[in-house]
Amino acid sequence: MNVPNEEGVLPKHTEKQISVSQSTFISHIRPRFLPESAINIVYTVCLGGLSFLSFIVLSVTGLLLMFHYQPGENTAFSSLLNLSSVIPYGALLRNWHYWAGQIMVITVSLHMVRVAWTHSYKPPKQLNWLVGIGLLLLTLIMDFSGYLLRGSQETGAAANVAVHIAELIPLVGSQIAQILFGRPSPLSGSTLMAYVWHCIGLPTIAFWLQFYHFWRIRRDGGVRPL
Amino acid sequence: MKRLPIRMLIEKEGIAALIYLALSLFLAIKVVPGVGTSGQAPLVGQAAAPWIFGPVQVLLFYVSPWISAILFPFLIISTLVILP
Repeated sequence: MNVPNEEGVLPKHTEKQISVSQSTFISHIRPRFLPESAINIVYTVCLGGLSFLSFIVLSVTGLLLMFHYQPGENTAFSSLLNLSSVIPYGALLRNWHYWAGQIMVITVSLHMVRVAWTHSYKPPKQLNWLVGIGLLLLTLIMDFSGYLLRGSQETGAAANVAVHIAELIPLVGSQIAQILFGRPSPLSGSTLMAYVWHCIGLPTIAFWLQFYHFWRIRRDGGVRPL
Repeated sequence: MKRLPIRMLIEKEGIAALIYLALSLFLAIKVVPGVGTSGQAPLVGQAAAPWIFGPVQVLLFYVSPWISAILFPFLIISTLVILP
């Protein structure tokens, strides 16, 4: 039985199994030797890797921004101004977070174009293609939810347009709008709902999907040439 | 197919990462993104989405929201899904 004992300690053979599975996973996505096509930069233009690097930069800068940002109709915009003009290096962090997000939208989109161009969506890679579509949608939703967190008048209008669009979906539209956006004011798109989705919900899903994506790339035979 | 050590991939990834970090930091220092208009300022009455949603925003001006914001994105995503 692989259950902890009364002191919460796993049996030694189970710890060894976990260690082996971790090293197997790492050696699977980072094997010691790779096909020449996987190393040729012209085939991939590093777009997938740069998207992941953007995700890391966004996670680090986003975590630091969370120490000072306050979501809400009356607090978001002022905390943003505070970040941009009072907090040391706050402006740099915010700007870097913004540009990393824009670069990620571009690199993920170009990555999809590259994959489509090389017909890399064909079997046996069709499942990873679907995961990629999911990651593209997550990137776009994170971009939009991050935009709403500015809390400006423009974002209030954009949030209300998004809520009305979501409500057009039959049967579940209102519930989806409520879950995704909460009740944004016309003068500020920053809500607690958008904040939690942007900072925790969506990045967590994207994080695990990305690791599955990387695992499947090697599993499905690696990169195809242009 | 010829196989090469992963060190060669790591070197290229490192160079790409350095270029990326330099570019994104340059943009962060030199190009300041706007913050928009405060809710306490006079009303501007303008909805603006991020640039990537520009096509949907333009379509919203000319056709019904059902077509521009539900059907149009649904068709694009469906096309991508059925591509394989």
